[in-house]
Amino acid sequence: MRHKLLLASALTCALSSIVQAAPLVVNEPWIRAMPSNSRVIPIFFGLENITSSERVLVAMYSPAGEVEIHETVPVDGMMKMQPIMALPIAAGQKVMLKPGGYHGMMSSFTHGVPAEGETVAVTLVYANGEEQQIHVKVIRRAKTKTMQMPATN
Amino acid sequence: MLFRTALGLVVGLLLSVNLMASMPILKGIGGDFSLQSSLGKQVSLSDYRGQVVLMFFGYTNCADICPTTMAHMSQLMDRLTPEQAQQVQVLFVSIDGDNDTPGHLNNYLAYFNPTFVGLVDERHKIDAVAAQYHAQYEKLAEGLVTTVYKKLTLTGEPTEQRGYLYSHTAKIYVMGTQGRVRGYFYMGTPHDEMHTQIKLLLQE
Amino acid sequence: MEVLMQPLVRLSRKAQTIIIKLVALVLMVGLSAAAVAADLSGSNLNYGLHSTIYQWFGQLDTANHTHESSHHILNIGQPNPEGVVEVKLESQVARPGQGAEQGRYPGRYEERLLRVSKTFDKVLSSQSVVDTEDDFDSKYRPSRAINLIKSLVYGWTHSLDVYDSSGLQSYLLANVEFVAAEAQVKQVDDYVPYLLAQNYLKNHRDLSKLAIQPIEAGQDHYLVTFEYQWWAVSQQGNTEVAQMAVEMQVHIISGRAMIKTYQEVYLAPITDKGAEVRC
Repeated sequence: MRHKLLLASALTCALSSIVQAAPLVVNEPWIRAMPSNSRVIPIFFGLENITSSERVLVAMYSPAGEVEIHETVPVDGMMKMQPIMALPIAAGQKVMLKPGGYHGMMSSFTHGVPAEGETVAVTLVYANGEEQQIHVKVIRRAKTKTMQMPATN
Repeated sequence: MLFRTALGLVVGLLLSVNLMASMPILKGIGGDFSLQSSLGKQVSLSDYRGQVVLMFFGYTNCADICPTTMAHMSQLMDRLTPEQAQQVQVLFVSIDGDNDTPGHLNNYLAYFNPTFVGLVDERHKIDAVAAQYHAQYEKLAEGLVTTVYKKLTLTGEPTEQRGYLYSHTAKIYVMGTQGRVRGYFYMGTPHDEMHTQIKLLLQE
Repeated sequence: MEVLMQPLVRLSRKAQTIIIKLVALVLMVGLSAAAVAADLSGSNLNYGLHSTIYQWFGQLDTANHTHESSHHILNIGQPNPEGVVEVKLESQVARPGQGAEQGRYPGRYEERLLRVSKTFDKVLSSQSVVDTEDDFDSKYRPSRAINLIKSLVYGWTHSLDVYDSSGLQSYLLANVEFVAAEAQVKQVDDYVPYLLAQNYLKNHRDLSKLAIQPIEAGQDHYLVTFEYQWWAVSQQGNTEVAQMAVEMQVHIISGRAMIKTYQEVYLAPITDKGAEVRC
């Protein structure tokens, strides 16, 4: 994990001169407000790739705790949560990190579980070395639009 | 005007058709049980006769499905009238007795709704209840568990062999006022639908 | 409802007609939805009739010195008021010297009208309507065991549906090993009293996934598995449903399939898979 981050930041430095960072559009980021004794909390947002080439989300980090990219998948009638190493977003496509699907999982909190109303900085790391910082608000419930989850594809 | 009236009629009729269908009783699943609880005492399903019970199997180190489901039920409770809410009991059965103590469950669940009750007990007792309800769960293979997850223990002991991501049945078991399983809700079930079914069950 | 109907008064006759048509449409949709739900109740198979007809053909299937014959039932129709049922089938006769060298025999396609007794428990007569050489010939496919076992399975199911204890008993070998899904049903004799005690308004089993396989070559012993979608309507008007798997060991003795072991277990109820994935 740490290696990957180092690698990612090294890449960023190396590439920053040639790669013009073209951040993806982040829609409705939110962290579910969770009990103060939670050991894990989820991060959700939509990612829209308005660039002309594929981007692959490979990591996230935050001063508030460690973050992994996870996916919840139905297997044999059970829900299985598994870490994923790369989340590709094709040019022109959108990917939703939403309940029951992809999500960021934050743990090992540096200052305790982020409380309702707080804003948490999260940095998205792409495979090409680009990084993008987003600010995610901790809210009790998703907006209705987000909660009406379309079928997973 | 004509269209609107017709639409009103259509919707009204559809609703009345829907309202007639109450959830069937599912045989061969469920039954009474007793487990330690977040109330600090043994709790039995039969304690909730006369109430609709919504039961979920999960664990608090779950970042997605479990809190999403708890939040969904929390919002459902907010929609009920106070009288209805008194007749609905949410039970959260923890499949992770290693990390979910009754006290931890109590604080965790109270955040979603102070009336939610958590159940946790010795592994074989939880297994017996899971089997009764055809609820499946399994620990994920060690290889799939990341180092971040391995750190998430209560004790802080070296945890090399203690990865504990679970996959599990994501159903909310719906029990009628006689304690019989009537079907399932999911975290995607619209609140209106849940509310309607609960009202029907309470009328029985 | 009354409130909703009131605006009708102020509408033109034409508008009223349109609305009535719409309402009729909705009612039909509603009714067809109810029909789909009721279809859980099943395929409307007349299990008693099916048992009788399969048994009759099973006994017709012969294996003697001169020839073998088989009857593979394709379809059993609904009995008309006179108790006449149309049965479509494929048959084969294997006589020595007729294609026996290649081990291939011509098949025939038949349609027969069987007259059955009022209670569907006997075949009274059979009349051939169509009997033509089919456009296939194949290895001889025996049907006797299949027909007799299907008769047993349909007959057993019928007895459970109509609370016929002696019907159930008639299929059991001595020293049968019997395990019901319901813990209260300790032996076969408990089964019908248990069902009766539930006071159901309706009680029906839908059969599915029937599979038959020989246990050991050369013996007339078979492993028979199938599933029931069982449903009932309680006195309170509640529908009760259960999914069950049945496994039986069946011995064929003197032209009847008989149960040697019977085990029935509840399966996890079938749920709305779509809802599970939709999360």
